[in-house]
Amino acid sequence: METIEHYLFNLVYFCYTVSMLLYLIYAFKKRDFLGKIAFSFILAASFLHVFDLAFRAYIGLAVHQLKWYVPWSNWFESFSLFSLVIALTFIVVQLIYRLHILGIFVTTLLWIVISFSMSYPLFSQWKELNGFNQVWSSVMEARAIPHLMPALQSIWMAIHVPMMFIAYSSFAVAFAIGIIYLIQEKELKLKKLSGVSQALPALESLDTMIYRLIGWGFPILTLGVILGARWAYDAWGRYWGWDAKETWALITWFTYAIYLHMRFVAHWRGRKTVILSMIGFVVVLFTYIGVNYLSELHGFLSGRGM
Amino acid sequence: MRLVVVGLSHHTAPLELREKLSFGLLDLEKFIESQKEKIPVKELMILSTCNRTEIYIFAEENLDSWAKQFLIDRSQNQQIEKFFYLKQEEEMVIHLFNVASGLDSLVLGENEILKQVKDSYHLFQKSGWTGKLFNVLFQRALYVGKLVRTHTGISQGLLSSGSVAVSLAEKIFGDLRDSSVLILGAGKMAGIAARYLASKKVKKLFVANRTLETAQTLALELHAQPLSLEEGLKRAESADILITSLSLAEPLLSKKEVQDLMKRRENRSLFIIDIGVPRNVDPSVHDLDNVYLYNIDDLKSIVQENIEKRSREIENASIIVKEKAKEFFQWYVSVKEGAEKSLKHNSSRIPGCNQAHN
Repeated sequence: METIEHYLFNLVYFCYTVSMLLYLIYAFKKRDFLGKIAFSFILAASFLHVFDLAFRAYIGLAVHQLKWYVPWSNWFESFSLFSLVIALTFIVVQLIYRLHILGIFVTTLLWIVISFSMSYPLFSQWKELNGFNQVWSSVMEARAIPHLMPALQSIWMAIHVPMMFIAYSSFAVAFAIGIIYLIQEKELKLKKLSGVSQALPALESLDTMIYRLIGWGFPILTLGVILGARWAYDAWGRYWGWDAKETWALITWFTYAIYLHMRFVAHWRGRKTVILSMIGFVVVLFTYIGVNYLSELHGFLSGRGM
Repeated sequence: MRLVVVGLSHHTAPLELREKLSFGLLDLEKFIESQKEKIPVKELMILSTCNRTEIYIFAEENLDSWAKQFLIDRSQNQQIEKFFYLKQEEEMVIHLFNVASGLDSLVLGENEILKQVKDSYHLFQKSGWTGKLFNVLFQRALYVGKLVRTHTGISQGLLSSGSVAVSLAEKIFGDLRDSSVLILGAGKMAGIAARYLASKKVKKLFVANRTLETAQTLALELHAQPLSLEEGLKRAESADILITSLSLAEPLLSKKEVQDLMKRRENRSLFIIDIGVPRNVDPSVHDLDNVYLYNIDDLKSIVQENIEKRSREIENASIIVKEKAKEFFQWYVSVKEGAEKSLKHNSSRIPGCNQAHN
């Protein structure tokens, strides 16, 4: 059964990879049909990915008899879910704005996330690993269905984590759009109007897209943090403990709050706000990955947790 | 029998002479119909635009002079002959493919010529002047014209300041339907830029000038609202695109003024095109966030760069043209020889081979 799941995930990974490669070719060839095929691959990948997660959930609950198991309980699974939600967010944005060029940046980011999901143990074990077989088994170990620590066996797991990922994903896509914005802005300031500029959308539309994505992600982030505090009360008996993850979640929240404030109240627009939104995503990544090495309580993934 | 083109173009002849020879398409149709009996060539195609008039024939070898005389008669000017060029066989094929690709055009890589070749060819095909050879030749030419344009950058990049200005505006604002344009100074250059923008159906268009009548004239043509200069300056903050072309000793807008303007605009992007001489807007304004200041020289240098980019593609385009011309010519030679062979050797075929067809 787990072997089937492994094949399914391999297929998902393959589709994401093909999608990224096609988008990268599109970046140079600028043929519309390449963008369309790339998009259909990411559609297929995310469709299969949903299946994969459902299948894992079934194996965990029915076969391994894990109570409250959701398929985002360890680092691999959580990255896997993160990449799925990025893909879904991108698909929605793409359906609204029809912006193939965005796929280049989003699929690359997504591919890094999903590749990292499987390969992260390699970074700490690299010296001990010999040969392909050991590398492979280390990867497969990372992909195994986990044993759950008590704090994670909760209904809040099913709610808090996906909400955070929905917020993070919209920030991730906003980040990718931010890159495009900065390239286009640079082109216009340099007075070049080269082929690059021609292929990119207008500044104002990019700015609006970033604003809308953050406007969508921010309330969800807020709710996610509040529900996280509620979960903390269930698990550890207090709502807020200034644990590193909690502190950084708050910093993330403030960064985007400042972005929205600057746009709404101070009427900042353009490059400055775009850079602020991109800093926000760097903070997100640190909150999500970096903090796991700092936090005692939230270090589920690095094995430092309880 | 051989392939020949005789004609003149902007490379060889001045405009007055080209005009004398030039046919409109309808004109051409009537003319050919009336001359039908007198034309001795096997296959014929005439391409006539304001930059060239060329007569393509497939005919006996002594008929070059007929083609020349045809053009001389048309222009009613004996002197014109010294402006002619004559190209035969493979040279003619290369020439035609170059023409179709826009490589021989005044504006390198322009698209209009491909349509003109197509329309002329269809006209001659319809009236029965093209046979198997010319049908293949001209369809090839149209195909090569497209091929060269898609596989090289020969027809990429805008070639007028006005269209570059519009393209820049679209790179800032996207669809210009929500953008307002204010023109300060209704000079000739401003009018040209404004016309390009007006063709994009902008939300609002204002023309302000020191003398209101001049503003009114331009405004009437552009369906814009005329304003006095004072009124125009008052409205500056509501304009997303600002075109200035006033002749003033001092700049109209300093960095500080644009900064204030941006504050009132709540930092919405502002695109300024400065056509004025001397400059109407302090160049350091371009350093401000969300402000994009282009002067006429910037626009011209983008155009110039595009022209250079196109000319850098000539070599690549020529490679395609030569290769395709060679391909066609080989086919042409084999058909020609085949035809001669089958005429000459009709009776001496090897027994058992294709006897049924003889």
